[in-house]
Amino acid sequence: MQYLGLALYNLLLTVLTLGLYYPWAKSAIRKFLWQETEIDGSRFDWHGTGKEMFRGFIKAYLFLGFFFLLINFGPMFLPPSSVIWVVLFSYLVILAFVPLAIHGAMRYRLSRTSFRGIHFGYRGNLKEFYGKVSLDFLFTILTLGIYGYWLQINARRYVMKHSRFGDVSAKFNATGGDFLGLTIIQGLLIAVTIYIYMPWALINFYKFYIENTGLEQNGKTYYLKSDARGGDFLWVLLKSAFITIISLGLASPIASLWIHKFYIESISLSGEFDFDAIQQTEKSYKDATGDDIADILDLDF
Amino acid sequence: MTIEAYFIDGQTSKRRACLVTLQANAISIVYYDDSLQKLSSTWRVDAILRQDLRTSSNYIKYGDFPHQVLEFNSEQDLSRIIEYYPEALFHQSAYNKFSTFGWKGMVSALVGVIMVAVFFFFYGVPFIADSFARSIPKEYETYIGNNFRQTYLQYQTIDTLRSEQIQQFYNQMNLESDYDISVVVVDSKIINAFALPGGYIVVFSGLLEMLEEEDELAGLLAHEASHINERHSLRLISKDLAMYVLFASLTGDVGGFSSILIENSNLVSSLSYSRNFEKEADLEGFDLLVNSEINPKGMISLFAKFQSINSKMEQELAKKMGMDSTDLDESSDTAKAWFVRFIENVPEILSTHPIPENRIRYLEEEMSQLDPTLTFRENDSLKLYFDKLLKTSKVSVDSSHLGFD
Repeated sequence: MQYLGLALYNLLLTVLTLGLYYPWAKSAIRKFLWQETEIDGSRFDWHGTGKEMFRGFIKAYLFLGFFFLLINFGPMFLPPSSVIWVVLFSYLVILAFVPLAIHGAMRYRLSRTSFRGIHFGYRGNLKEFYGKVSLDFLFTILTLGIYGYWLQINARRYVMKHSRFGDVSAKFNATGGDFLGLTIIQGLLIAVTIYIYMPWALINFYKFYIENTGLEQNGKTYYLKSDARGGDFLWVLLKSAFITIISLGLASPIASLWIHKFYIESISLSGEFDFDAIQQTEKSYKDATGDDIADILDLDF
Repeated sequence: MTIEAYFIDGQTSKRRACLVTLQANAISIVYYDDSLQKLSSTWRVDAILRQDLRTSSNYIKYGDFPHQVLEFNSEQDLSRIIEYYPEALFHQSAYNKFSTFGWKGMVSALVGVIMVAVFFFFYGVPFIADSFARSIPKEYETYIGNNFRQTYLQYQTIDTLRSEQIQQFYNQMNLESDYDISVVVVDSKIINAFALPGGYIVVFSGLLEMLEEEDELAGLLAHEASHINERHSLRLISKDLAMYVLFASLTGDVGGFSSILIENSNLVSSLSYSRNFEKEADLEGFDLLVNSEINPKGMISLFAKFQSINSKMEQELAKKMGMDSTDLDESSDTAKAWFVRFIENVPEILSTHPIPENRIRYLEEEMSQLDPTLTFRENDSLKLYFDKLLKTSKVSVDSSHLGFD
């Protein structure tokens, strides 16, 4: 109910300001979700601000929004012979922005997240990341897309490896081959059951991401676990669809919260992980100053 | 007042049980370290970090980075602190204030959202888009229209001879316009015609086949010329564009289902928008004709034709379904009759154009208000060009699409 109130409050200010309030709304929603997420008796904190996100929002809208407009409405205004090139070019520009967006978003999100006063952080190097991703992208084109599975997983491995929670570091263990195998099997099951298997497949993908993620503390790796089950997930999805439809969409924040809750509550971490022994490491952290342009690309496109 | 809580020092994640005592302008915290040595910390109330969403929080933070944290056993314990320092800055935020109104606040916000949304949909966005479309320079408008025309005509067969003839006919009409209007005839069975921004009219040959008098063609061209003069298509596009920008900035927040609802309501408002434009083009076209001393009665007979083709199609469909023509009388409300009428007559609210009956009605009203002493020119030259056009006729007509845009 509180969440619905916050969503309505945000929506009102967003429409009143013709959408300009959106970054503040997004920041408040994130703060709510972080503060309602509890492990070992303590809650997360989000200390990003609407102002920081607003700067990113303006830049991203001015720049990428221009290309999205070009793709959607360009064909009406441009000389017919050049339309295809302009649209192709726009897609390429947007594509080239994806690694920067991932890097910026990780830096921003992690640096603004904390737990028991300990700040998260991201130590990835943008140049290195672009190098890896570009090479993988080239392979993906050469293999007609098959290497895309490795591209995705390698990117995730890189991002996880450079994520920090105080002196705890994260890692992602799977390979592109594992991902391809999973996709083939789940895809076949979905096809054979005419999509009925969909919720189970989604849960298997979710578990793939969660259970291959480990936290390294004092030289020992603890893997996350998820006890989510496809049948329960189907039930949550049906419930969510039902209240959304009967409320004409007004209860959709509640529905999305249910789904979020289902995902989060299924996660557990081995009891040996010591939540009391994490050391603060992100010394250089300055509060509320967007120190990198990329920070502000924190937008879900 | 004292409260039991946990203290975190900002160096490690260790939670230590502590006792919190509230004083006038400070909070004093007493806790024990690992060697059970008693330690204390004092927080100035004005240096506690802001907590904008207090309803979902059970902790407060203090000072510069690395922040110290006080974690409470429940949200109620945090509320006791806030109540103890009602004027303190750390819990002042617009949302915290809003949340104290409970369900009343939510209902007001909901009503507010609906009111603002309705206002933007029906007044705000159309107004902004309209002003924008009207401020576009004419040269650029012509450039856009030319793009449209080239893209469209790529896939059509142009009847060059009749295009020339219809252009001469149009020039002879001598209508007032800021635009250099050029007319093109496209070879097609379909009964249609439309105008593009910046002065381009496209007429399908199927529509020419059903014309019998020069007045009707004059009426059609005057209608299209009014669309161009009033920049109707540009204003429609501009409204769609504005809606797109508005949705793009809102949908991140609105759930998937509600955005579908919003888009559909946009469609309905677009339809009524375009119906108004059609009516405007009819009435302004009427005035253009009168000002050029051409008899506007052709417009009415054009719509009468659409109407009669429509009812003919109704009867054909009824026949195919095994009904007598009498089954289609207005009084008959059998399911079949209803079905036939529904298929052949899209209800006006769901249509881009006013229904022909209404168009005839308001045009006849205009007719009756004309000054009776008004004279129209003898349209010998118009008739000449019109007859030429008819002679070059060759296609048969497919009336599944009926009308012009």
